[in-house]
Amino acid sequence: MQYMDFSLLLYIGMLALGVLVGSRKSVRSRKLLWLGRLQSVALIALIAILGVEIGADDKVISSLGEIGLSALVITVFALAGSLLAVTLVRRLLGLDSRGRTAAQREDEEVKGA
Amino acid sequence: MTGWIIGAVLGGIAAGYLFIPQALAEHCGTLITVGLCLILFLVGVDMGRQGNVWRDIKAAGFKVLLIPVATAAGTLGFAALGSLLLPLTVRETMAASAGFGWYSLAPMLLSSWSATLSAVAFLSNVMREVGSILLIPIVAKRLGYIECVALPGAAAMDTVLPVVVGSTHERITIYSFVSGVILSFAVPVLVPLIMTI
Repeated sequence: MQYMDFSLLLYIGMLALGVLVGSRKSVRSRKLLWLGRLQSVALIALIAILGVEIGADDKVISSLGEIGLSALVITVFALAGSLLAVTLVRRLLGLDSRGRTAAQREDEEVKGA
Repeated sequence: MTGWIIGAVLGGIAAGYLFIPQALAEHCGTLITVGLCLILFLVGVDMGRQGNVWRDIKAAGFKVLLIPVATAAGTLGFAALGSLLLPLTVRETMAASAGFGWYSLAPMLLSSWSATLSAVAFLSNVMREVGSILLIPIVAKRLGYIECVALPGAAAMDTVLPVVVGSTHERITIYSFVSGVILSFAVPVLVPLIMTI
């Protein structure tokens, strides 16, 4: 568990360091096309390694059906929960179904008429 | 990109299952941690270069921040409920759902806990992205424009942004982008945090 606390800090640190570097003027003014490419290559390689780790685990292979079902249930619940929470917040903020305040709505209706 | 990622996972799984020896597979964890650091750094650079998030938040008003907060709360709360139906603990379903659709990151963050959970996180977050693309046009018509932002989670800032704006209105762009950025930041924080506390 000690190790995990450390990795959390490490991940946040790397992300923050990236933002710090990326928001420097000298970095922002350049196009850095290779950056996106490096990101894609690193990601694909890493994902393949993750796949190897998953594939080499006997428990995963023997419970593929259960894994698929779990993923589906989590997804359905996550989508439903986030919809419910956001629709409540939208109503609390007084926005209509098209995301307009009352003033914006009147404005658009006047223009439309 | 999505096709490449899914291909890489499937190829990796096949390789790991068919011919990569256990001894080698055991070193994957270290490689993943190192690679994750590189990816998170590069993602950070990307976010830093876009740079207008703070200005966007101010322009739209701080109420914009309530959307990702609600999305996260709804996602985690309902995923916790989902664990009642599944052979997984509350902690596990919440951690998998805390990927908020970022299907390349969440499973890597979870790989040090268990390969099974990692696989669940990968699949459920792919499903979230695909499901959100299918549902956005329906939700836009039946429920509301801002609700569409909730569906893709972290992907609301990039891959699914055009789908959200296309089905709703340009004024939703800022909600979608800001929400995606905030949720993206939350993924590498929440996933390990949920598993540790």
